[in-house]
This record gives sequence, structure tokens and C-alpha cells, in this order.
Amino acid sequence: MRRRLRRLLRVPAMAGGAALVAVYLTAGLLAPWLVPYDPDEQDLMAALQPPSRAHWLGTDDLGRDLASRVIAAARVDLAVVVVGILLAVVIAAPVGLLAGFVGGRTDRVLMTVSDAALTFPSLVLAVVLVSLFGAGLRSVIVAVALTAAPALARLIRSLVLQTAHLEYVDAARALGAGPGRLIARHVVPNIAGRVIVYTTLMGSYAMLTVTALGFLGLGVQPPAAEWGNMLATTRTYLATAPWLLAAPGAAIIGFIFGLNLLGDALRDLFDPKLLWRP
Amino acid sequence: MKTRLAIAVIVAATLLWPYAAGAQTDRPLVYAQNVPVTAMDTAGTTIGTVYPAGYEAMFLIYDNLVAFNDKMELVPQLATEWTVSQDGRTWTFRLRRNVTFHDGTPFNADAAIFHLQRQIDPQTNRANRPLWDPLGGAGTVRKIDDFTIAITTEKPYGPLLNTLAHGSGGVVSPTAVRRLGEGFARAPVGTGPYAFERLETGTELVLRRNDAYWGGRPAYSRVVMRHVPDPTTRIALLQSGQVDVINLIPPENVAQLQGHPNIDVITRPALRTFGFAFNLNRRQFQDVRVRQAFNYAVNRGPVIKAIFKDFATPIDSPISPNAVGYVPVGTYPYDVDRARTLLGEAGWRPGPDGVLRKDGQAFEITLLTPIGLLPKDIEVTQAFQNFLRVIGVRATINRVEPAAFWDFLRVPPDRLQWDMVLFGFNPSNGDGGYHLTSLFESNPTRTGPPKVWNFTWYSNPRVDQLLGQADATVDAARRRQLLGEVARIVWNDAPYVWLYAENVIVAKRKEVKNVEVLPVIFTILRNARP
Repeated sequence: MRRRLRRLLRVPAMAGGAALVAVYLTAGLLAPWLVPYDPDEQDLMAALQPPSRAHWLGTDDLGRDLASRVIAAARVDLAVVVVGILLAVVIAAPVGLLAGFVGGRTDRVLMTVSDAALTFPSLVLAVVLVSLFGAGLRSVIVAVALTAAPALARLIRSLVLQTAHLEYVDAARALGAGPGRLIARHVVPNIAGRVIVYTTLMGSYAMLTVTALGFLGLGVQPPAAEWGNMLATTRTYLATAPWLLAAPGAAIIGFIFGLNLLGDALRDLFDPKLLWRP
Repeated sequence: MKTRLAIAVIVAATLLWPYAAGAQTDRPLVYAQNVPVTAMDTAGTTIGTVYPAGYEAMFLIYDNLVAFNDKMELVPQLATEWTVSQDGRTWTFRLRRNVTFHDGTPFNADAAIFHLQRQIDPQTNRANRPLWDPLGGAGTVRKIDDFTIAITTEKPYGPLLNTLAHGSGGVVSPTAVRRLGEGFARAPVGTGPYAFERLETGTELVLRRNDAYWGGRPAYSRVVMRHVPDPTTRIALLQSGQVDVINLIPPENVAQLQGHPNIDVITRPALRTFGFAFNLNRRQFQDVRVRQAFNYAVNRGPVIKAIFKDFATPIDSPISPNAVGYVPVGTYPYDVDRARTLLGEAGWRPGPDGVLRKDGQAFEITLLTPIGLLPKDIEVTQAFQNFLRVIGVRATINRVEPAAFWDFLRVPPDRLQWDMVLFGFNPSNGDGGYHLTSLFESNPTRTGPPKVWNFTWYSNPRVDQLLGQADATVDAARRRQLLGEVARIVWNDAPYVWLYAENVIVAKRKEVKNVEVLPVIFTILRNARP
């Protein structure tokens, strides 16, 4: 395993993805200490300054330091994505395990519900959910979780179906293992890797949802910095102060790019089909 | 060779012909608006009129008895001349002859009276009550002959002509109103230069030329009013020539448009004044020192410079310097120390986190603002939030969709869900008295929504009394004095954090002439021509 990891990291794209994601995570975790200025501190007399020594990404329409805001936004956006995806796993795992392991009517009912949720384009569903709960951080997290959960539940179910009838599981069952023990000791460890890969890739979709909601004004409320709402509130400056849009835009692109590279790498790491490749 | 040349000429001529021949008459005039036209009835029915789009459409469909020109002077329209009696109570209007409504109904004294009575009666007109109520009560509207009418008011009513020139003063076809009932709002009939053709709610309104217009044949075969909510899109449409006129241009885009060879930018100081309204039902805001402290805490200069690029003016009265009845009444200079002192006197002391506290309660409030409805609404709200932070008040912003915004204001006092709200009122008849009455006259009852826009629930008997007197005064100087007194009292009572008066910023293609922009925010296209 460790050898394989080392080998993968030698592939530049994958190492790059991992590094990029690490940079974002560090920025998010250490944001309060990394920002050169208070991201909410306004200096109206210094509004709309182009990038300079003092403000290396310039200042926004209210004279706030853009670099500080992009970094502060990383904390918000990443937190929402991470918590949202974890919540999705918490919702989807029992559903998927139950549906896959018990089967029959339970399976049909659970999967009908998740299919119904899947028929909505995820952004539409997210907008509906946020409208229901009211705009704000908590609603966006819930929206991310609920839009990610159905697909995840389906994936877990199919992995369980593949795994639950493998010979060693049958063997364990024959030895008298109960369903709880079967799931915990034999099924979960075998599917965990692939679930992790999938949730990683889901992170980039979740980020798009979060920033889209922010852009639509349904996400984190101003003055809190968030990439989506930074884009939304400054888009009239596209012609006059393009750096206002470039910074959060690049931040979103970089994160998704990095996460996709990393997700691919992880898939290769966990994919059993690749297990025997040189 | 010659044949080939001839063919080339014919092909080129065929291709270019539509531009050469059709440009004059058949191209519609397209106006991209920030909000959609929803209803076009002068009497507010159950379908609300969205401001300013609805009135801009109504100014094309209807004629008023009296109208504003672009200097806000009153000029004849369907009334050709008028006189007022010595006691200031009876106004006599001579009406224009040979005018017909789009549906063929003739315009005459009966039609004018039908319109006036429909506007005056609160049963048939629920909107703009402060404008029409003074014509009600014991007032009468009567016919003298087929083309002369007389309006008598219970008490002298100074701004009567302003009311007639207001968007709700458009004269409606009595036949169409009777036939369509509530449906009239979506199929309006007037005498104006352009007649209603079709409405795609939320998307666009199409008007067609009224060939029989009494004022001469209008220039365009059609006028299209299109809803384009995003300012960047409006600007792109104008730059690419897909639309001819756009409104509500963000100040930061003005320079860019001014540099464009085919575009004119029109800016006018507007009558709309902005402020953050206090919810006076909240205990912390019942102390006038707190409200004044908030006023001292805001540095208006940088807000106007940074956010509005100087396309706004700080106000020194609740009403705009360009409104009828304006006198300057005071200023709240930026003075954080004074703000802190006033808050201290009111019992608010900073806690360990810098947030003010009184009786163990932290000073935390909510700021309500729409997004994209008022100019720079969310930016101004963030700036204001920051000014409050400096004096130790923690404010959270609650931003709402433009369409939902009004419902947060028009509710009984116990159902208000905000502590302060960004609001701008535009006295669309040009009269400061209307402005002050709409915002500061006591509401008749606390069980229903505010009568007009007094959603702060401000109430001062002295103000009510002076407003009544001002309404009944025809003499301009005396009226100005009374309104000045009202403005002074309200200014010092500070039910608002007073901010600025905006500039209206409209842009058009150079080839479109005679686009009028009124200080009351309306863009009037009735005289526009190529």
C-alpha cells in the first residue's frame, strides 16, 4: 500500500493534485493567521485598487483586501464542502448498506426515494432546499448533503451487492456471523476505499453547488467572504476592475482541478483492477 | 464582366435594402428594464404594479390631464387649459377635443370624470392613497359641458396638478374598464401614443403605434419593454445594439459607456432619497439618542464616492433638494465620538468583545435589504454594517429577493421581521409633501399594514397636524414653510439613518432621440424618435 502510494505520487499530475488540495486545505485551516488584513475591514477611500504591493490581489468595491477575502472564503467554502459531504456519507451509508444487505422491499422503497431525488438536477434541488430552510451556511450544508446523498447511497448499495455474496462473506455467514458483524467486519472494510474515492470526486461537484448557491445569493450571507457571492457582487466590474472576478474565479477552478486530479489518483490507488499492474 | 457587376450590385442592394428602407419606421424601440411590467392599471388592483416599469409603460399607453415635462414643469396634455378659483378649492379644466381611446371610445368630460372618480374612490383604487384622498371626502368632480370639467376639493389641495400628472393620473377608457374589470390591468386601453398589444408576464410588454394619436403619428411601429434583471446583461445588450435604451446602470459602468461611440449616458439628480429605516417598535430604537447616534456613525462622503462614483448627493432633509417644498434642515456630520457619547447616555456600554450592552443585552440587530432592487443596495448595507461595527453594534444582513421585499414592509407592526431596512422613496408626483406624508404621517390603525410606507410606525401628532395644514395650503411659500417645519422635526426625530439622494442613470443608443428621463426615475419614451 505504502509502496503504491509512493509510486503514485511520482506521477506528476497526481502529486500536483494532492499538493493543490493540500494548499487549499492549509489555506482553509490557517485562514485566520494567513490573511494579511481583516477580510471584513473596509476602507472606502481605498476601494477598487488594482493589485499592488500592499494589496497583492487589489481591493474590492468596499475597499476590502481581496487576497484576504479569497483566503477567508477558502475556509468557508471548504468547510461547507467537507461537512456537507460527511453529512451525505452519514445519510447515505445506512441507506445504502440497508438496501444492499437486506434487499427486497426495503431495497425497493429506499431506492425509489433516492431515485426520486436523483430526478432533480442537483442545483435545482439545492435551490429548492435552501429556499425552504432560508439562506445561510447551515442550509447550504444541508443542501450539499441532500443533493450528494442519493447518488452516494446508490453507489454504496451496488458495492454492498457486489461484496455481500463473495465467498468469504458467505463463509463468515456460514460460521454464524450476524448481519451486524458481517457488515462491520466484512462488507464495510471492503467498500470503504471506493466510497472514499467517490466522495473525493463528489467534492468538486459540491464546491460547484456551494459557489453557485453563493452566486445566486442563497448561500453564505455578506459580508462573509465566499467565492460564489464574491463573484456575484462584483460581476458588474468585469469591464472596469476584472481582478475582482479573476481572484475568486481562479480559486474555484484551482480547487476543482486539484480535487479531480487527486480523485483520479485515489481511484487508481483503490481500484482492485489496477492492483496487479506494475 | 458587366453582367457579373450588375448581379453584384443587385445582390448588394437586396441585402442592404432593409436597412435603407426599413430603418425609418419598422424597427421597434426596445427598452431593457431592471424590473418587469406586471400590471398597467392606474388604479392599483390586486395585481401590483412594479415600480418603475409599470408606470413607464402607463406613460406610453395613457395620457394624463396634465403632464410633467423633463424639467418637472406641468404642461397641458388631455386638458388644454385650467383655472383655479380664489378660495383654491375649485379647479376648472378645458379638455382636448377629437381624442379617442385605442378602443374607439371618444374622450370627453364623461370619460375624464369616470377616470377621476375611479381614482378617488378607495373602493376602486387602493394605490397612491395620499395623492387621491384629498380629492375625496366632500369633494366633487362635475361636468360643466362636454369638454369642461370642474374639480372641487373639500379643503384647498396645493399639489392637485401634481396628482393629475402622476403615473396614476393616466386616463382610462371607461368602456374597457367596465368590460374587463380586473383584467383591465393586463389589457389596458388609453389614449396615449402607443397601444397595448401583448404582455408576456415577467418577460416583455409589446406596445404598438397608435396611428390616430392626437399629438401626431408616433415614431416607432412598436415599443418593446423587456425585463433584463442583470445590469451587465443590459449593458451588453445596449453595446451590441440589441436594445436601444436601458435603465438602472451601476455607477461603475458609466465611464465605460461614455467611452462608447454610439451610446449616450443620461444622468439626472433624482427625487428618491435613501436611508436605513428604524423599526421603531423595537425597544432599543425608541430612544432618540440611539437613532441620532446611528446617524452620526455613518460617513456619507466615502460611501457616495466609492460606491456611487459621486452619482449621488448626501441629503440635508428627508426629501430631495429637487422636490417641491424642499428646505435644508440639518446635517449629521461623521462623528464617532459623538455617536459613542449619545449611546453611552442612552445606557449602552461596550462589553469585553467591544459590542455594546445594556441590562445584559448585547446590541445586535438585523439589516434587511433587497438584492438588485435599489441602487447598490447590498454594497451600501455592508458599508453601513461596518459603520455600526465601529460603534459597537453587531448587525447581521438579511437580503431578500426584490419581489419579496415589499411584503416585509407592508405588514402590521407586530409582524415586522427586521430591525432596520434600506429604503428609498420617490415622490413620483414631484411633491415633497407627498413624500413626507407617505413616510411619516401616523398610520390610522396598528392592526393592519401601514397606510402608505410608514413602516417604521413613526408617529408624531405635531407632524400630522402640520402635514394636514400643508396639504390644505395652495400658496407655495406658506406650504414650503410648513413642509420645512415637518422636515426639521422628522430629521431630528431620526426615524431613519439619512443617507443620500441618487442620480438616475439611463443610457441609450445615439440614434434614438428625445428620450426623457424625469427626476422621478421614470424614463419616458413617448416622444422618442430615430
